[in-house]
Amino acid sequence: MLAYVVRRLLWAIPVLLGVLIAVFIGLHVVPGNVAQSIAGAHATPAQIRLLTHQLGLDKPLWDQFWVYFVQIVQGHFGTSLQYHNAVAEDIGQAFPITLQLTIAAFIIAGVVGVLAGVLAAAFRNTWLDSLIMVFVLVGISMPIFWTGVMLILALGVDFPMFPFSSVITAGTVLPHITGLPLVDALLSGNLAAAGDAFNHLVLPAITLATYPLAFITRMTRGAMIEVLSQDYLRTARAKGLRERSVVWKHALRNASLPIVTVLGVQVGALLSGAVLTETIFAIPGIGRLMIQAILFRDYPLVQGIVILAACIFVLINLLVDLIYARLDPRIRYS
Amino acid sequence: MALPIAELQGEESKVTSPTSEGQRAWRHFRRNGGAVIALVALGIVVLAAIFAPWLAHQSPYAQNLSQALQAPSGAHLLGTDEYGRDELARVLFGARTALGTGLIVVAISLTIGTLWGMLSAFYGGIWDMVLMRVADVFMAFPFLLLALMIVAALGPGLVQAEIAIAITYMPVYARLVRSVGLGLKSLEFVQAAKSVGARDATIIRRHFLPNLLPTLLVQATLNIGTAIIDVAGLSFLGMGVQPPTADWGAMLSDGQNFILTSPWLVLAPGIAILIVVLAANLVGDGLRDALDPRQRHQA
Repeated sequence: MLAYVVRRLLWAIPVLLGVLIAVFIGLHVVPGNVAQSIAGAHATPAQIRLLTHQLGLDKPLWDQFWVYFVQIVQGHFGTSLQYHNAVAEDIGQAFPITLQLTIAAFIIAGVVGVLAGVLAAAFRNTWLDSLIMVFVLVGISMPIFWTGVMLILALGVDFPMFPFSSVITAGTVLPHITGLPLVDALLSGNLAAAGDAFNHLVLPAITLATYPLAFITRMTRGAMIEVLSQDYLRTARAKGLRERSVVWKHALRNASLPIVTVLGVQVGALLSGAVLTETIFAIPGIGRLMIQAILFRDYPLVQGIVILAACIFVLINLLVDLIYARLDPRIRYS
Repeated sequence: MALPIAELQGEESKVTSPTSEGQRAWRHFRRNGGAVIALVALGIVVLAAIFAPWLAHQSPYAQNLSQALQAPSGAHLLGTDEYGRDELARVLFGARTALGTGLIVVAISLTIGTLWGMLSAFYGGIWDMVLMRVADVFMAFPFLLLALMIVAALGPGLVQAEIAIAITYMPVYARLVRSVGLGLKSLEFVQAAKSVGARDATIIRRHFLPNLLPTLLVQATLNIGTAIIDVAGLSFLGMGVQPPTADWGAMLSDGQNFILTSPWLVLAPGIAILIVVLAANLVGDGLRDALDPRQRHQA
């Protein structure tokens, strides 16, 4: 297993290097004159020349890449043009909020998705299966931004059960322990604030979870149907094992490989969906920061966020591969 | 994004004529009631998009501030927006943007992705290694963040959004084509064609492409729906279609500002997107079932 882990870790290095090259090309080469974009349409040629020199854009491309590469490897993402803070600082403030949202959505999607998928497969071709599959089809086809708006309309406006803006009621003061509002409220023993943070999390988390939930349900159902028709499960039933035990203990364990894969893939969907969800619910996370950075042409901030998101995604995929190898020893030796 | 990796068709399918294979698939497709209804619904949306100027009684761009934010009525079946523009006209013209977007994104990503995967599978070796590592890098980004980075570089706009989303889809097609292509490469009829000195282009055109067609058709149909959602998502964020063009994503984004007083502004474009994407998904699933018998037992 250790050899496999090392091999897989080494494999992630060229991918991460490729990510850095892609971001460099994307933001340094394609736009043409970056300094012109940053300085704005009304900047004088002298101002643009000065900015070009300050940003090091008058150096050869290879030198620019080397400076950029060394800085990134050392953890220096530059200074935000919009906020004039270190990019890492801005990202550090926004990231825990996105993390809280994605974890909540992942729990909803993973737990409900696997449960619904197993139920649909166990009760295949019944009304329950049909009902679940209708929800799956609608969940996969509904744009996340419409789901969010509809939830605001239904549970925020018509039947006002949950707040639909920001992460906590304005004026609530929380100590900065982890940066995750709900966790910080709990850790500081402020239960009223914890309840408030939880209520603020409900609608965005459901919105973000809808698509991955539908997808996980569909994949779990497919994997379970495949496993449930295997001979060894017929044998298990023939020897008198209860159906509940056959489905939840034997079949689910053997269907876990494709389910783990799809759970990992959906983390990417969650990171993408967070951008839209945070925009709809005015949540000051990474996604909203990215949109504001693009609108302001804050290239250092855009670059920092994209590299961070890609690194997280690569690490999640690495983790999924390691879990996969742990579950199925054949992968380690192939 | 779902990636239905269609497996190789059996040897049997290589000896049956394309017509009989197509007829068999069509017979299976017709038996799938949901897929047929979805195909009809898609057809209606296409007709609505084509005949939008005749179906809409008003221009989608004609502003009338005295009629702003009117509730649905006989004069305006879906109400009016904040500029007094007829919502029905904008939904109908928005269908043109949505369908056009879906087709353009799929056409770009399918063409380049197929070429990418074909080169990788057919030539193998260093080509395969390099091309697949490039695909790995593309797929290392959460797709919307990659698309946003591209839009950040190119600037907001419909064409830029289409290019950005198409770029995020390309490696999916490349991987798909490579996986099917690798299997095809080792089959006897391809080996035989090589041994008699057939040119690479001929083998690709006569043996690879016809056998890839069913897989690509399914993936492309499913991607039309996701492309419509994804470009609408960029427009929702203000990075895609720019005002005053009628677009469902941008309409939803604008309508959100009036959700407390004029909820119809978010209902109509949302339902329109849902219908088209649902229909594309159902047709895609129906095609997959019809073209790949091995998937049928899981449906």
